Amino acid sequence: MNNVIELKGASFAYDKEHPILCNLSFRIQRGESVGLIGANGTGKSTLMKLLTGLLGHQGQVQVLGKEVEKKNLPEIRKSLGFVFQDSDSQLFMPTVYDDIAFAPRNYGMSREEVEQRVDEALERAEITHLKYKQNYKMSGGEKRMACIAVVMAMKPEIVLLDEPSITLDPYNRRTLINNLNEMTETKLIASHDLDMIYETCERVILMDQTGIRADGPAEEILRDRALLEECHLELPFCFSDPKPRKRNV
Amino acid sequence: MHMADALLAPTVAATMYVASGVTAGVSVKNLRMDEQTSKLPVMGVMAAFVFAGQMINYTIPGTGSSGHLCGGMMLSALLGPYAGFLSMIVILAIQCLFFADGGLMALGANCWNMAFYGCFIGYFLIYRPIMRKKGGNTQLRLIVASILGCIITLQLGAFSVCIETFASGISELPFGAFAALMQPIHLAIGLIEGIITAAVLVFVYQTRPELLEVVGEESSGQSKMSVKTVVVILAVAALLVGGIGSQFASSHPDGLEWSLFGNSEEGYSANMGLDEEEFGVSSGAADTAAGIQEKTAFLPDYAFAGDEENAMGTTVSGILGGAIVAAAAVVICLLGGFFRKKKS
Amino acid sequence: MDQISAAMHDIAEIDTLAAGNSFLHRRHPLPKLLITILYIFTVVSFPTEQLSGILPMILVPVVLYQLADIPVSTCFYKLRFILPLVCAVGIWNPILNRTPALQMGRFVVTAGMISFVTLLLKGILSLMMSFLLIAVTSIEKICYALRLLHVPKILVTQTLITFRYISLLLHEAGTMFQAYQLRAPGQKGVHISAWGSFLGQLLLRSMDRAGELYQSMELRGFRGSFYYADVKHAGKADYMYFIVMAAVLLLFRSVNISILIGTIFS
Repeated sequence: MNNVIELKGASFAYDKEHPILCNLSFRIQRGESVGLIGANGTGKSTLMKLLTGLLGHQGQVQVLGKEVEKKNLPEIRKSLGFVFQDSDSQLFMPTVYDDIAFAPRNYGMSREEVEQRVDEALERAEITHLKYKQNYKMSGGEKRMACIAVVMAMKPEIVLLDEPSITLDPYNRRTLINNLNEMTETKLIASHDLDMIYETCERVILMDQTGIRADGPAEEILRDRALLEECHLELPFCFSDPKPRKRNV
Repeated sequence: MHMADALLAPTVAATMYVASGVTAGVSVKNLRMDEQTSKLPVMGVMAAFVFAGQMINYTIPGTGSSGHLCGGMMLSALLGPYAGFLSMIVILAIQCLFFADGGLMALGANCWNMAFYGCFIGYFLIYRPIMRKKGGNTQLRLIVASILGCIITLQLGAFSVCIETFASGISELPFGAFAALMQPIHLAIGLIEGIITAAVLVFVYQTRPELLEVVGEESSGQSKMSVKTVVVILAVAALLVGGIGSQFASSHPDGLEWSLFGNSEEGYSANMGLDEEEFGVSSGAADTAAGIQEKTAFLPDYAFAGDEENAMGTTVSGILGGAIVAAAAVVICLLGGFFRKKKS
Repeated sequence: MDQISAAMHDIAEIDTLAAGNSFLHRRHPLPKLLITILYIFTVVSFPTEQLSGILPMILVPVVLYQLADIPVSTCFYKLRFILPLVCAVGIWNPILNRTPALQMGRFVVTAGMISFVTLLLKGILSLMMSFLLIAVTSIEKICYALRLLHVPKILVTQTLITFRYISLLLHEAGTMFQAYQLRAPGQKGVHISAWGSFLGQLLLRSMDRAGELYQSMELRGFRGSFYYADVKHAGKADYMYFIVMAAVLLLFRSVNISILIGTIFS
């Protein structure tokens, strides 16, 4: 069972006339780091939420060999960490400590175990100094790392990250990238920050309005200017010309 | 119209706590277990939303003043009356703790005046019947229901403030005059709030109609219950108010009558600030306290009415003692500040 | 926007105060909550003509503020909400009740004046104590105490969530209002034509946020229980605090300290 995520003809629509995801198929293997890129409105976030079972779907979606359906959800969610785009939606408890401890407590761990999980998670996100900080008093960068700690407390096998580098300053973004590179878990990262994707992922899935446009090594896709521009993206900064070019309209 | 602690007698405050507490209990019971889980985040965030909405000034055209939002009706329309009532309690509690708007003792009264009428009377007797009518323009019905609901529930709330203040016996203002002041002001406030509520609900109806609590037949099973619930709550509250109020009035007639009608000249000066046995000892705790006082009295039976000389004596000691106490308070503050500065 | 930034300032200030570590900060939240309620109950139970009886009650918050290492003056700004209402109701007393109560030289103090001052004092004192409670006890701890008093779980949990999102939504509302003002110079508030859409937009965003919040809870195995705030069990000092304070309040309510002191000195 090396495929931790497997989609076969998966579709999703809020209403039938306007499908958001149409007939998607791909596999992700254990330990892979996959970047999910594509213009606004191509359904990156939707796809991520599909994997967590937050949205219903047609077709086959398997996570860790189990079909994503109601009866499997508790088990799947235990080994799946989802970092929301908006940290404020993820951190709803009074303090960082309480937020990290939320999931372990809900899964009925003992006091000592919870304590241990919290400390480990804080260490992995390198924010031990924020342990008792109140959530609403933190900066954007601190919140993002707290979200990662929140997810890490579950010791997930798969980590899904939705625009993790958004709103971060260069310093915090670098911290995040280093942290992501140290993660050994399977990762799926949706982002417009192609430079970060290039630094953290070896494989890229490119989506457009019709579905998956390309799926392959990051090195290959992220260097393909024509393909990227066709999908309303641009070459990552590290590959592009020193001067930004005007778009040909 | 947040009541302040100072304006309420303990009995009145306690009565209102019981009334609001019973309503809260009914509301919790009426939210099904799964709703308690799934509605929790919406309730939490929406309460915060109403809070933020209250901080915005809405300029009233043609006047220099601005209106504000109270939120009971709006929350009921969005979350249903039970979740709405609970959310209002949370809002009022946070307001009183963090912003000193209202008071801890007055919380029960404030929940009743501002949340109960808006959420239950406003919803079950005004909003829902209007929204349920078949045919016609839904937007128009939303507007009518919101404005009518806000005006009527604010009138009820303002009237309750009058009754509570009157029953507490702290004001010389006759009940009629007080009501005559309160009601018209709140007519205007209610109208403005109604328009704001209507504007928001119409906006929601136009953009995301699914967010409005369904007022159709689906909830009929629950709804039969709910009108009954309101009636029962009201009846219990009336009994409580009547029962406790009348007992209060009969056991301590002086306390209530003196401040409202009496102004009894004879004996007043003698009783200025001294005589607990005669005046306004109106709570259980105070009764016990009075009992203890009798046993431990340092100054047994001072200041009888009519005993002029003695009365003067206590008045003088009262003033002198008060001055010493006030001076002590100032000294403590200054000392505290002095040490604080030294430390830092 | 004034009101919004004032509200945010209030929250931030209380937060800073509550982060302290004084004798009062360290006490268990339950006795603090109970004593606060008992104090306010005692204060409002004084009849309005008992100015000399209520006066010594000042000493309680004044001393406690020193124990909490908080300047008394911090709470006075908060009076802006309470005092106008108390004044509006109380101001009629000196006007309507002119019964002379005592004469100081030429100046006659009427019963109405005394009851008005008493009323103001009640307002100030009860506010001082409730502010002290929140200034030395974090909201999580107060919620913990409420749970101990069997306040329904849903109310307590909602309080926590609401408090968590108040500053966020205040900030959002403030930003929206600034954006509005930049395009509507000279307007003091939101114009009637935008009442619905302004607040409505904020509402829709809040609803979306609530939706995400629920998802985030669901993904982390939420099934209706909320665990928070590890509060240590009440110790000796907590019991002592409660007993001493309750005794003091009882004493102040049953014995007129002012007169007692006055008699001793005269």
